[in-house]
Amino acid sequence: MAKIIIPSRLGNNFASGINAFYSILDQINNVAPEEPLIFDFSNCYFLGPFFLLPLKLLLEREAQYRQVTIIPPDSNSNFGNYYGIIRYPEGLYHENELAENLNTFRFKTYTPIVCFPASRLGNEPQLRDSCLTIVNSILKHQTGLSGGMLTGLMYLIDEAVNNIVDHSDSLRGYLFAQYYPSKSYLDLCIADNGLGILKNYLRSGYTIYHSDKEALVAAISGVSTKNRPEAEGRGFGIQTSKKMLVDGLKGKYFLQTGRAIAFKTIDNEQVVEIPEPLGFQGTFLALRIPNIGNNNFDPSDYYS
Amino acid sequence: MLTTNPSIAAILSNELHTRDQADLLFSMIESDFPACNHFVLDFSEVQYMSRSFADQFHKLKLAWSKQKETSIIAENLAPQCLDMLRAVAQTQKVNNRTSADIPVYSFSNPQKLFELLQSI
Repeated sequence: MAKIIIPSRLGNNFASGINAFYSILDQINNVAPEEPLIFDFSNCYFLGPFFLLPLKLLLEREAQYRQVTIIPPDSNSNFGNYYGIIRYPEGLYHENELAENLNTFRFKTYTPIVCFPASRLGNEPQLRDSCLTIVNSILKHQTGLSGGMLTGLMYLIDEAVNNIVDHSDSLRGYLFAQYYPSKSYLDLCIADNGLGILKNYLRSGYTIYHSDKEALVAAISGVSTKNRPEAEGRGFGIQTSKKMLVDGLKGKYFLQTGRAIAFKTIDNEQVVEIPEPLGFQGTFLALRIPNIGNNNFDPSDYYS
Repeated sequence: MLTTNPSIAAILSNELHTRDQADLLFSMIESDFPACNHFVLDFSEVQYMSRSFADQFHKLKLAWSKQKETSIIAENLAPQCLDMLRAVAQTQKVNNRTSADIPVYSFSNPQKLFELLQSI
């Protein structure tokens, strides 16, 4: 039985949570595939969305293959309280539950782990729309955003959520956000455990891509699996979101699919193929949105 | 010519997030007003329109015009919704895309990757 000690706290750096998550993946890689895992949260003090959300998906994935035990934090500690309120690791699955807890979260600086429906079956589209409306209401209240800045935030969320719906073939998508009032930024993480970009291209007949890296470059360039004559106009989501967040808001953008990551900051943009043990099934999007409070932003400059 | 003027916020919501809402809107007006061939859709209470909704709305509007000879007019759009509809109309053609020229690297050593990420 291998024990994974969850770090007590993470730094403010954009990638601190991502690196800490990779460190967990690296540790698991050194454990035999069938060996049970214990994840120990008992010493945690402060962790953020870029670590906790991908870790949630990892816990679920590992639990499919082996015994996974979680040692939760002390419920009387600050982190234990937070852990309970955000419903870690399960998250909130029903929009009714989200609506019932709307007032709780309006006065926090974080959302719960929101597990939104990602399919187009039955009434799931309406349930998803309700979830998004509630999440927007929570974030609007927490951050005091209005005008173009609020519209920009909603645009970034919608583009990410709709990419999951259109391409992941996943039953659920996951959203988690944390607002840092003293630093005036919002960390937003949206992820799924679905096909990932490469498999989505392959199933759509794009056999020219052979690696996650190639597929990610194509996705960033706007090559949509929906680029059929009857479905033009798609594939702009990643490009426009990156442009709006980084060029417009001076934020930071990170996207992982499988063994490829893409990141963009004001002065640096790269696609990187990463070591195999650090691969992520599905997609994992991390956005740092700064200048919360500047409501003079005009998102329409970045729609195309 | 039969005309009707439904309120989008009343039918759907004052936030329009997804393609599915556009699909739902068109299927609702089709079933509720089967004889109508001229719709003036009132967006006056709509505060936000996503790109996905706008793109699907644009496509369905054009399709109805061509295939059913039915006109759809969007009325009382907020500036954000107008901007979004204008943007999707301009980005319907694939050749409007700009190809990315992004450097691509590879890391086999996790520690080196951590160092790179810590620097961003």
